Amino acid sequence: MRTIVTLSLVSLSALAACSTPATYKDSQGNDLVVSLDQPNIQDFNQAADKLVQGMMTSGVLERAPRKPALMGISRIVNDTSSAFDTDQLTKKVRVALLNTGKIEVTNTIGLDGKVEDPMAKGVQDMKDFESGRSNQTPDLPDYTLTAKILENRAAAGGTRQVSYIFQMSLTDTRSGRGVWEGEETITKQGTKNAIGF
Amino acid sequence: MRHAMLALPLLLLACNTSNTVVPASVGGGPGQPGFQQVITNGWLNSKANVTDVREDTVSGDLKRVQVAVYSDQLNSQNFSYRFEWFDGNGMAVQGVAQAWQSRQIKPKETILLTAVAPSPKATQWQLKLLDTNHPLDQ
Repeated sequence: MRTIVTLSLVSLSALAACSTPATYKDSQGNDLVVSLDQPNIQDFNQAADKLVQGMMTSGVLERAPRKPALMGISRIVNDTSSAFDTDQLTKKVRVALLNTGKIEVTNTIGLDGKVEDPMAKGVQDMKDFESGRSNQTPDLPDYTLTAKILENRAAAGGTRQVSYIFQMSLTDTRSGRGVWEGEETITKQGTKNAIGF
Repeated sequence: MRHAMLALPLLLLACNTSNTVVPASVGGGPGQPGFQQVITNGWLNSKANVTDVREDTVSGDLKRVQVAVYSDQLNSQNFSYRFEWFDGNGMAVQGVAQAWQSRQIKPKETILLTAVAPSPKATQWQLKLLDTNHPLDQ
């Protein structure tokens, strides 16, 4: 009987030692989960950071027709095997671009007529109607932003490798020409998911 | 006494603390502000030692920083880093650029870490370096 009790206690202790209670983590920290089967929050952080830095370094917004320039969000495609909301990338890019003071984003003009903020669009239309500006051209974006997220997988023995490729383009709506393009690739390799990087 | 002297480096090695780099308040030349390192982790410094700092401006009024990091190790190493930005009053300026990022550095290699200020208000910066695979963490 005493042996059974002892064994039970040892088993319980072992189980307790294996489990880790949930804790809050700094979303920008370096002790986050690194997954081989999906992009992680730090991947979006890094991609957005590098892409915005690339756009700023290019100086393209110094040649904008007005300052701050107006940008519309066009097609954003998730072409990976993971189902995630592409706003995880685009919102970070938008926030970072707004913070630079070089560019603002329209919320009342959207791809295929789907606006970001329907209420703002309604109020804008009402104000235009009341002031007799309904027939005038609305404030059109100087630039549009498109993005695509791709996935590339490879394996050697038990080691798996996944690359997420974040591509982004800025188009000048006066000419239709791409005036800036950026690509950031994030590669992860290992045999299993891990904590920390 | 001898035991205490032996224990001190081991204690320092056991702590995975960060190293910090800030531009020097005086000295340096145009675009090369000079820098000061606060080293609390000797092991990390041996594989990610800052050797040069340069600054310029992009997109009109955004500060850009480039930091050269050298590894004195004989194997490839990993470390994490992040830039933190402050306004003229020393208040933190938040941005997506402040997430920790990981880099690999090859033996005796010098790599460049770059960052662009998140806002024209961000005029001061500091770089934090952190060990990724600390020997005693393995």
